Amino acid sequence: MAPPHPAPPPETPIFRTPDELLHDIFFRLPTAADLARASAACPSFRRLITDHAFLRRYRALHPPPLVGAFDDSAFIPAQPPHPSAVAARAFAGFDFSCSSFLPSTASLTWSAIDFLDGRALLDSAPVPRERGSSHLRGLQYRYLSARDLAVCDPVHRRYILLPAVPGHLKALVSEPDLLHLETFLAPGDDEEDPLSFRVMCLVQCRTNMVLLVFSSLDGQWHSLAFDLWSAQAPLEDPRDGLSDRQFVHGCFCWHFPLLNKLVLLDTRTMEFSAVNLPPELGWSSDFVIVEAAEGMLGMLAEVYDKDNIYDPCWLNYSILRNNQWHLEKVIPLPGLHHVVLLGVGGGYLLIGAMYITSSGEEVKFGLFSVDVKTLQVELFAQRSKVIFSGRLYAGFPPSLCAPTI
Amino acid sequence: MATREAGKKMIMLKSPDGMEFEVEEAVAMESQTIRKMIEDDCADTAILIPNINSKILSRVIEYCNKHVPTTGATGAAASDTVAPAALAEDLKIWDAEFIKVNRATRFDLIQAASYLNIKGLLDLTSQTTIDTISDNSLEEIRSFLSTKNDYLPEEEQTIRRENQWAFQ
Repeated sequence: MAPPHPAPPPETPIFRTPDELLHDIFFRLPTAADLARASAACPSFRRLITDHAFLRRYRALHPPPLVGAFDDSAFIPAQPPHPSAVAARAFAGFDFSCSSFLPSTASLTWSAIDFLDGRALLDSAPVPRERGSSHLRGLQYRYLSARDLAVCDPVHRRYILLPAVPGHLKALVSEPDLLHLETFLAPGDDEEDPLSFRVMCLVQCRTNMVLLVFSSLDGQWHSLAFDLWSAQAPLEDPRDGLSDRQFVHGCFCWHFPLLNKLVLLDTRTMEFSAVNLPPELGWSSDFVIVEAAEGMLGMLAEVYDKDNIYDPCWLNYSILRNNQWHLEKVIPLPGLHHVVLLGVGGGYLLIGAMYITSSGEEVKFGLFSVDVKTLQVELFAQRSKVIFSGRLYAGFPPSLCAPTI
Repeated sequence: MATREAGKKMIMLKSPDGMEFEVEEAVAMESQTIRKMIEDDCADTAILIPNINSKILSRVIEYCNKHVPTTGATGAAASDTVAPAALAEDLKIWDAEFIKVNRATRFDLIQAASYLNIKGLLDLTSQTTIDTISDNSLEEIRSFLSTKNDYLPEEEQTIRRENQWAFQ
């Protein structure tokens, strides 16, 4: 063993130990399945690969693939021949529910409301849930006050119960004005700390919006008020408010139909900004924002002939350059009908659709993925019924996940 | 800071087992580590390359010789005369032959490429290992990497079950 000595300056070349060199090689493995195969070769490879620091760095270099979607509570995995099907196999029989290790009482049941970066956000409330059909203000307000929130690591079966939103922050929300409440996971304040996370609660009222933010670093709720439409009339219809949240390039973005804008929240600076949407996008248009090259924003918008819903529809791919959306490509969706854009995750847009098989006149339902880089469309999973909503799950197989809490 | 000179300035590289290799400066500077030493004027007469024996160092020099961009007397790139695609194809074939070495040598080459910071060589040597892991069965991976399967039988069963999904 060499005697301990001060660390050399970073630019000095150093001999890397065999373990470090193997780590360097493993970082180059393109997929989680390759990692799993290497780890099965011998105990020393397994020790190196299952090292938590290694797994976290690997995850940062290779964002986890989209492995499936939740339709209510059922998990729909990717099916062969989709490239995600291999990783999805590792989730066979996996229990995502977290309720087996969360504290429970007779009247409360936990329900997952969001997934991000290997964490699940669950809530438990004695009143109807926020994503339900109810827009009743009183219920939403009681929901803000009375529910429990927990952030879980479903693989390592760990959880953190969040404290209630303190009274002085709840006072920022006036009950008669409350229109909509949306709670979701966000990356932590400290990019260096893999265990840090935030939970955000966007509260939309008639005349203002409040963002409540819980940070795992100090275990406290904070608030951020912002003013998007002071010169405009108050919001009357929740459908005019911020909707269709997505996460791109470290920013959350929402569609704001009232002003036909895209509202962005940079999670690093916690600053809001807004960009214009193409004028032809009304609130009824279905579109998603995706990561384009060089940090730019891309948009995939569903287009169809409004007079004949049975006609094939297609996707328009546009990129935001110099504050203007430029149409880059038209992606045909041959044979797909009743197309619903479900969301974006793990490098794919997932859509639900009805289609007619090429062989016969058989009508089928399925999930289709659109690769946001190559824009290639593939069948993701066949279904027996039509799907209108679903939460996407991107992640590494359980055996290759470092704890997130 | 030394300025780059046109022509064929030579550099002496020494391995710890006492061998000396005289190489063109441009060839030696394929290594970012050596380039930095030269640019910082730390390389007057000879550069000692610690821990890389003469057998490996000679292979590394062979690689750098092949991969150094050809320059004419004026210092301008001479690749105008050779089609770049043909050149790249030729290099690919050469690389494939070059990397046909046993596991110990390949690992020494990875070590050397990492220390000397020669990106092309590091990519080549690492990628060979990556391809093996991606394309082969468990037994072939073990045999190619000469790793011993020293899992206990019951451990092996668990590992196989846990990673079954990746082998279908």
